[in-house]
Amino acid sequence: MGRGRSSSSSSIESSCKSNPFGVSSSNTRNLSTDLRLGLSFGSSSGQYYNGGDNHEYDGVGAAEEMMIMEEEEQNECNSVGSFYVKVNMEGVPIGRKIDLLSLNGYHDLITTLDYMFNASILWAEEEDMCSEKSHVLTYADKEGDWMMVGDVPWEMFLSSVRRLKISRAYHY
Amino acid sequence: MYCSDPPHPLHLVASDKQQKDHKLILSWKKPTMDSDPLGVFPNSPKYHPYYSQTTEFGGVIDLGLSLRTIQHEIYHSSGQRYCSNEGYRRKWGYVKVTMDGLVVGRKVCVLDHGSYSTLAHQLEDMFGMQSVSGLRLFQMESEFCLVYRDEEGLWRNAGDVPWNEFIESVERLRITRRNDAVLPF
Repeated sequence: MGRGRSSSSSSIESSCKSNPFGVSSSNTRNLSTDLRLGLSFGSSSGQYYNGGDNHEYDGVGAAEEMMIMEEEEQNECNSVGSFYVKVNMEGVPIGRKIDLLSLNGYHDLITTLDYMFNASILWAEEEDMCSEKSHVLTYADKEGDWMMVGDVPWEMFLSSVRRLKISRAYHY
Repeated sequence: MYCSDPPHPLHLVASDKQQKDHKLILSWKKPTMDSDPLGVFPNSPKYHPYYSQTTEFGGVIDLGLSLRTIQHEIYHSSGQRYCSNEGYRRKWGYVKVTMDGLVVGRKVCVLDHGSYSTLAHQLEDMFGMQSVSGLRLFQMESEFCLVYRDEEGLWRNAGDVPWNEFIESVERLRITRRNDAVLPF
Protein backbone atom coordinates (compact mmCIF):
# COMPACT_ATOMS: atom_id res chain seq x y z
CA MET A 1 0.00 0.00 0.00
CA GLY A 2 1.21 3.44 -0.84
CA ARG A 3 3.93 2.42 -3.26
CA GLY A 4 4.25 5.14 -5.88
CA ARG A 5 6.38 6.09 -8.84
CA SER A 6 8.28 9.31 -8.25
CA SER A 7 8.16 12.20 -10.67
CA SER A 8 11.15 12.19 -13.00
CA SER A 9 11.18 15.95 -13.37
CA SER A 10 11.53 16.35 -9.61
CA SER A 11 14.44 13.93 -9.58
CA ILE A 12 16.23 15.80 -12.33
CA GLU A 13 15.62 19.10 -10.62
CA SER A 14 16.98 17.73 -7.37
CA SER A 15 20.11 16.42 -9.07
CA CYS A 16 20.79 19.69 -10.85
CA LYS A 17 20.47 21.66 -7.66
CA SER A 18 22.90 19.57 -5.66
CA ASN A 19 25.84 19.45 -8.10
CA PRO A 20 26.80 23.15 -8.18
CA PHE A 21 26.86 23.32 -4.40
CA GLY A 22 29.34 20.48 -4.26
CA VAL A 23 31.75 22.24 -6.58
CA SER A 24 31.28 25.57 -4.87
CA SER A 25 31.90 24.29 -1.37
CA SER A 26 35.02 22.49 -2.52
CA ASN A 27 36.54 25.77 -3.64
CA THR A 28 35.35 27.60 -0.56
CA ARG A 29 37.02 25.06 1.71
CA ASN A 30 40.51 25.80 0.37
CA LEU A 31 40.11 29.53 0.84
CA SER A 32 38.72 29.13 4.33
CA THR A 33 41.52 26.83 5.38
CA ASP A 34 44.15 29.37 4.37
CA LEU A 35 42.36 32.11 6.25
CA ARG A 36 42.05 30.02 9.35
CA LEU A 37 45.70 29.02 9.30
CA GLY A 38 46.72 32.65 9.40
CA LEU A 39 44.48 33.42 12.35
CA SER A 40 45.31 30.41 14.46
CA PHE A 41 48.80 31.39 15.60
CA GLY A 42 47.87 34.87 16.73
CA SER A 43 44.71 33.67 18.40
CA SER A 44 46.43 30.89 20.27
CA SER A 45 49.00 33.26 21.66
CA GLY A 46 46.35 35.75 22.69
CA GLN A 47 44.22 33.21 24.46
CA TYR A 48 47.08 31.75 26.43
CA TYR A 49 48.30 35.05 27.81
CA ASN A 50 45.39 37.47 27.65
CA GLY A 51 42.48 35.21 28.44
CA GLY A 52 39.46 37.31 27.70
CA ASP A 53 40.70 39.50 24.89
CA ASN A 54 37.40 40.14 23.17
CA HIS A 55 38.80 41.64 20.02
CA GLU A 56 40.95 38.69 19.06
CA TYR A 57 38.22 36.32 20.16
CA ASP A 58 35.73 37.92 17.79
CA GLY A 59 38.15 37.38 14.94
CA VAL A 60 38.43 33.72 15.74
CA GLY A 61 34.69 33.42 16.03
CA ALA A 62 34.21 34.84 12.57
CA ALA A 63 36.63 32.35 11.06
CA GLU A 64 34.99 29.52 12.93
CA GLU A 65 31.57 30.49 11.65
CA MET A 66 32.86 30.49 8.09
CA MET A 67 34.26 27.02 8.63
CA ILE A 68 31.03 25.80 10.18
CA MET A 69 28.91 27.12 7.35
CA GLU A 70 31.28 25.52 4.89
CA GLU A 71 30.99 22.20 6.66
CA GLU A 72 27.24 22.43 6.54
CA GLU A 73 27.34 23.08 2.81
CA GLN A 74 29.73 20.27 2.09
CA ASN A 75 28.02 17.70 4.26
CA GLU A 76 24.42 18.36 3.39
CA CYS A 77 24.50 20.13 0.04
CA ASN A 78 22.74 23.05 1.67
CA SER A 79 23.39 26.73 1.25
CA VAL A 80 21.70 29.79 2.65
CA GLY A 81 18.04 29.47 1.73
CA SER A 82 17.76 25.71 1.30
CA PHE A 83 17.85 22.75 3.64
CA TYR A 84 17.66 19.36 1.97
CA VAL A 85 17.03 16.21 3.98
CA LYS A 86 16.70 12.61 2.89
CA VAL A 87 13.29 10.94 2.86
CA ASN A 88 12.73 7.20 2.74
CA MET A 89 9.49 5.27 2.79
CA GLU A 90 9.33 1.82 4.31
CA GLY A 91 9.05 -0.75 1.54
CA VAL A 92 10.22 1.66 -1.16
CA PRO A 93 13.89 1.16 -2.07
CA ILE A 94 14.37 4.52 -3.77
CA GLY A 95 14.77 7.53 -1.50
CA ARG A 96 14.08 11.18 -2.16
CA LYS A 97 15.33 14.53 -0.95
CA ILE A 98 13.20 17.46 0.06
CA ASP A 99 14.04 21.09 0.73
CA LEU A 100 12.42 21.91 4.05
CA LEU A 101 13.10 25.64 3.74
CA SER A 102 10.99 25.78 0.60
CA LEU A 103 7.96 24.66 2.61
CA ASN A 104 5.62 26.82 4.64
CA GLY A 105 5.02 24.38 7.47
CA TYR A 106 3.79 20.95 8.44
CA HIS A 107 0.74 20.92 6.19
CA ASP A 108 2.90 21.81 3.21
CA LEU A 109 5.36 19.05 4.15
CA ILE A 110 2.65 16.39 4.46
CA THR A 111 0.99 17.41 1.19
CA THR A 112 4.31 17.32 -0.65
CA LEU A 113 5.24 13.89 0.68
CA ASP A 114 1.75 12.49 0.04
CA TYR A 115 2.25 13.51 -3.58
CA MET A 116 5.89 12.37 -3.84
CA PHE A 117 5.22 8.89 -2.53
CA ASN A 118 1.57 8.56 -3.51
CA ALA A 119 0.77 7.82 0.11
CA SER A 120 -1.61 8.87 2.84
CA ILE A 121 0.60 9.96 5.72
CA LEU A 122 -0.27 10.41 9.36
CA TRP A 123 1.38 13.00 11.58
CA ALA A 124 1.04 14.25 15.13
CA GLU A 125 -1.79 16.70 14.62
CA GLU A 126 -3.99 14.11 12.94
CA GLU A 127 -3.30 11.24 15.29
CA ASP A 128 -6.09 12.10 17.70
CA MET A 129 -8.65 11.69 14.95
CA CYS A 130 -8.04 7.93 14.76
CA SER A 131 -7.07 8.25 11.14
CA GLU A 132 -7.11 5.17 8.96
CA LYS A 133 -3.92 6.21 7.18
CA SER A 134 -1.40 3.43 6.95
CA HIS A 135 1.86 5.36 7.26
CA VAL A 136 3.26 7.76 9.83
CA LEU A 137 5.88 10.44 9.25
CA THR A 138 8.89 10.24 11.55
CA TYR A 139 12.20 12.07 11.71
CA ALA A 140 15.65 11.33 13.09
CA ASP A 141 16.85 14.22 15.22
CA LYS A 142 20.40 15.30 15.93
CA GLU A 143 20.66 12.79 18.76
CA GLY A 144 19.65 9.94 16.48
CA ASP A 145 16.23 9.38 18.05
CA TRP A 146 13.24 8.74 15.80
CA MET A 147 10.35 11.04 16.67
CA MET A 148 6.92 11.59 15.18
CA VAL A 149 6.68 14.74 13.09
CA GLY A 150 4.44 17.54 14.28
CA ASP A 151 4.72 17.69 18.06
CA VAL A 152 6.94 20.77 18.20
CA PRO A 153 6.75 24.16 16.49
CA TRP A 154 7.90 24.13 12.86
CA GLU A 155 10.95 26.28 13.61
CA MET A 156 12.08 23.93 16.35
CA PHE A 157 11.50 20.97 14.04
CA LEU A 158 13.78 22.56 11.43
CA SER A 159 16.55 22.95 13.99
CA SER A 160 16.35 19.28 15.05
CA VAL A 161 15.53 17.23 11.95
CA ARG A 162 18.30 15.30 10.24
CA ARG A 163 16.29 12.95 8.00
CA LEU A 164 12.76 11.75 7.44
CA LYS A 165 11.17 8.32 7.23
CA ILE A 166 7.64 7.30 6.35
CA SER A 167 7.03 4.31 8.60
CA ARG A 168 4.21 1.80 8.51
CA ALA A 169 1.70 2.93 11.09
CA TYR A 170 1.47 -0.34 12.99
CA HIS A 171 5.22 -0.53 13.53
CA TYR A 172 5.78 2.72 15.32
CA MET B 1 32.48 16.77 35.31
CA TYR B 2 30.28 14.60 33.14
CA CYS B 3 30.09 16.97 30.21
CA SER B 4 33.80 17.53 29.93
CA ASP B 5 34.79 13.87 29.93
CA PRO B 6 33.06 12.10 27.03
CA PRO B 7 34.36 8.72 25.83
CA HIS B 8 36.43 8.88 22.69
CA PRO B 9 33.96 7.20 20.28
CA LEU B 10 31.00 9.06 21.71
CA HIS B 11 32.72 12.35 21.09
CA LEU B 12 33.06 11.61 17.40
CA VAL B 13 29.40 10.73 17.08
CA ALA B 14 28.23 13.70 19.08
CA SER B 15 30.48 16.06 17.20
CA ASP B 16 29.28 14.83 13.85
CA LYS B 17 25.61 14.95 14.75
CA GLN B 18 25.59 18.32 16.41
CA GLN B 19 27.23 20.44 13.77
CA LYS B 20 24.13 22.58 13.51
CA ASP B 21 24.68 23.71 17.06
CA HIS B 22 28.11 25.15 16.45
CA LYS B 23 26.85 28.69 16.10
CA LEU B 24 25.03 28.39 19.39
CA ILE B 25 28.17 27.00 20.97
CA LEU B 26 30.21 30.02 19.96
CA SER B 27 28.17 32.18 22.29
CA TRP B 28 29.13 29.91 25.17
CA LYS B 29 32.85 29.82 24.49
CA LYS B 30 33.49 33.33 25.73
CA PRO B 31 32.19 32.98 29.31
CA THR B 32 33.88 29.62 29.64
CA MET B 33 37.21 30.98 28.57
CA ASP B 34 36.89 34.12 30.65
CA SER B 35 36.02 32.31 33.83
CA ASP B 36 38.55 29.53 33.40
CA PRO B 37 41.40 30.56 31.09
CA LEU B 38 43.52 27.69 32.38
CA GLY B 39 40.80 25.14 31.75
CA VAL B 40 42.73 23.68 28.84
CA PHE B 41 45.58 22.33 30.94
CA PRO B 42 43.67 19.95 33.25
CA ASN B 43 42.35 18.36 30.08
CA SER B 44 45.79 17.60 28.73
CA PRO B 45 45.35 13.79 29.09
CA LYS B 46 42.75 14.08 26.32
CA TYR B 47 45.24 15.55 23.88
CA HIS B 48 46.13 12.23 22.30
CA PRO B 49 42.63 11.09 21.28
CA TYR B 50 41.77 14.52 19.92
CA TYR B 51 45.06 14.79 18.11
CA SER B 52 44.48 11.39 16.52
CA GLN B 53 41.09 12.53 15.29
CA THR B 54 42.58 15.65 13.78
CA THR B 55 45.30 13.85 11.89
CA GLU B 56 42.85 11.28 10.59
CA PHE B 57 40.84 13.98 8.87
CA GLY B 58 43.67 15.20 6.70
CA GLY B 59 47.44 15.12 6.48
CA VAL B 60 47.49 18.66 5.16
CA ILE B 61 46.90 20.17 8.59
CA ASP B 62 50.13 21.29 10.22
CA LEU B 63 51.03 21.13 13.89
CA GLY B 64 49.97 24.68 14.66
CA LEU B 65 46.52 24.27 13.23
CA SER B 66 46.10 20.92 14.91
CA LEU B 67 46.89 22.42 18.28
CA ARG B 68 44.32 25.14 17.71
CA THR B 69 41.72 22.64 16.63
CA ILE B 70 42.27 20.52 19.71
CA GLN B 71 41.38 23.39 22.00
CA HIS B 72 38.25 24.19 20.06
CA GLU B 73 37.06 20.63 20.20
CA ILE B 74 37.51 20.51 23.95
CA TYR B 75 35.24 23.51 24.40
CA HIS B 76 32.82 22.34 21.76
CA SER B 77 32.48 19.03 23.51
CA SER B 78 31.33 20.39 26.85
CA GLY B 79 29.55 23.35 25.32
CA GLN B 80 27.45 21.19 23.07
CA ARG B 81 25.96 19.17 25.87
CA TYR B 82 25.33 22.16 28.05
CA CYS B 83 23.68 24.19 25.29
CA SER B 84 21.78 21.26 23.90
CA ASN B 85 19.99 20.53 27.14
CA GLU B 86 19.67 23.88 28.83
CA GLY B 87 18.95 25.93 25.78
CA TYR B 88 16.16 23.83 24.41
CA ARG B 89 14.42 23.09 27.67
CA ARG B 90 14.47 26.67 28.91
CA LYS B 91 13.40 28.11 25.61
CA TRP B 92 10.69 25.68 24.55
CA GLY B 93 9.79 23.47 27.47
CA TYR B 94 9.68 20.44 25.17
CA VAL B 95 10.95 17.06 26.35
CA LYS B 96 11.11 13.73 24.58
CA VAL B 97 8.75 10.92 25.52
CA THR B 98 9.40 7.31 24.64
CA MET B 99 7.40 4.21 25.50
CA ASP B 100 9.20 0.93 26.04
CA GLY B 101 8.79 -1.27 23.00
CA LEU B 102 8.06 1.57 20.59
CA VAL B 103 10.59 2.90 18.11
CA VAL B 104 9.05 6.31 17.52
CA GLY B 105 9.04 8.88 20.30
CA ARG B 106 6.99 11.99 20.84
CA LYS B 107 7.58 15.40 22.35
CA VAL B 108 5.49 17.22 24.94
CA CYS B 109 5.72 20.73 26.31
CA VAL B 110 5.74 20.42 30.08
CA LEU B 111 5.17 24.17 30.38
CA ASP B 112 1.78 23.76 28.71
CA HIS B 113 0.57 21.73 31.69
CA GLY B 114 -0.18 22.80 35.22
CA SER B 115 -0.33 19.40 36.86
CA TYR B 116 0.45 15.73 36.48
CA SER B 117 -3.13 14.93 35.53
CA THR B 118 -3.18 17.06 32.37
CA LEU B 119 0.17 15.59 31.35
CA ALA B 120 -1.28 12.12 31.85
CA HIS B 121 -4.18 13.05 29.58
CA GLN B 122 -1.87 14.13 26.78
CA LEU B 123 0.24 10.99 27.09
CA GLU B 124 -2.95 8.95 27.00
CA ASP B 125 -3.86 10.57 23.69
CA MET B 126 -0.38 9.92 22.32
CA PHE B 127 0.30 6.39 23.53
CA GLY B 128 -3.00 5.06 24.85
CA MET B 129 -3.78 3.06 21.73
CA GLN B 130 -0.77 0.84 22.42
CA SER B 131 -2.66 -0.91 25.23
CA VAL B 132 -6.19 -2.30 25.20
CA SER B 133 -6.94 -0.74 28.56
CA GLY B 134 -5.06 2.51 28.01
CA LEU B 135 -2.18 3.83 30.08
CA ARG B 136 -4.09 5.04 33.16
CA LEU B 137 -0.91 6.70 34.44
CA PHE B 138 -0.72 7.56 38.15
CA GLN B 139 -3.55 5.13 38.89
CA MET B 140 -2.96 2.24 41.26
CA GLU B 141 -4.27 -0.47 38.95
CA SER B 142 -2.28 0.69 35.91
CA GLU B 143 0.35 -1.62 34.46
CA PHE B 144 2.36 1.39 33.28
CA CYS B 145 4.29 3.99 35.16
CA LEU B 146 5.92 7.21 34.10
CA VAL B 147 9.57 7.84 34.86
CA TYR B 148 11.70 10.84 34.04
CA ARG B 149 15.38 11.64 33.68
CA ASP B 150 16.37 14.62 35.77
CA GLU B 151 19.09 17.21 35.27
CA GLU B 152 21.63 14.92 36.92
CA GLY B 153 20.89 12.13 34.48
CA LEU B 154 19.09 10.01 37.05
CA TRP B 155 15.83 8.24 36.27
CA ARG B 156 13.11 8.93 38.83
CA ASN B 157 9.48 8.04 39.29
CA ALA B 158 7.21 10.84 38.12
CA GLY B 159 4.72 12.11 40.67
CA ASP B 160 6.94 11.98 43.73
CA VAL B 161 7.76 15.68 43.83
CA PRO B 162 5.44 18.69 43.42
CA TRP B 163 4.65 19.60 39.83
CA ASN B 164 6.64 22.83 39.91
CA GLU B 165 9.77 21.00 41.01
CA PHE B 166 9.15 18.32 38.41
CA ILE B 167 9.05 20.72 35.46
CA GLU B 168 12.28 22.35 36.65
CA SER B 169 14.27 19.15 36.54
CA VAL B 170 12.64 16.91 33.92
CA GLU B 171 14.74 16.39 30.80
CA ARG B 172 13.16 13.29 29.32
CA LEU B 173 10.13 11.09 29.92
CA ARG B 174 9.65 7.36 29.55
CA ILE B 175 6.56 5.20 29.83
CA THR B 176 7.54 1.83 31.20
CA ARG B 177 5.73 -1.23 32.47
CA ARG B 178 5.40 -1.25 36.22
CA ASN B 179 7.14 -4.56 36.83
CA ASP B 180 10.03 -3.58 34.57
CA ALA B 181 10.51 -0.31 36.41
CA VAL B 182 11.18 -2.09 39.69
CA LEU B 183 14.33 -3.76 38.44
CA PRO B 184 16.53 -0.73 37.67
CA PHE B 185 15.85 0.93 40.99
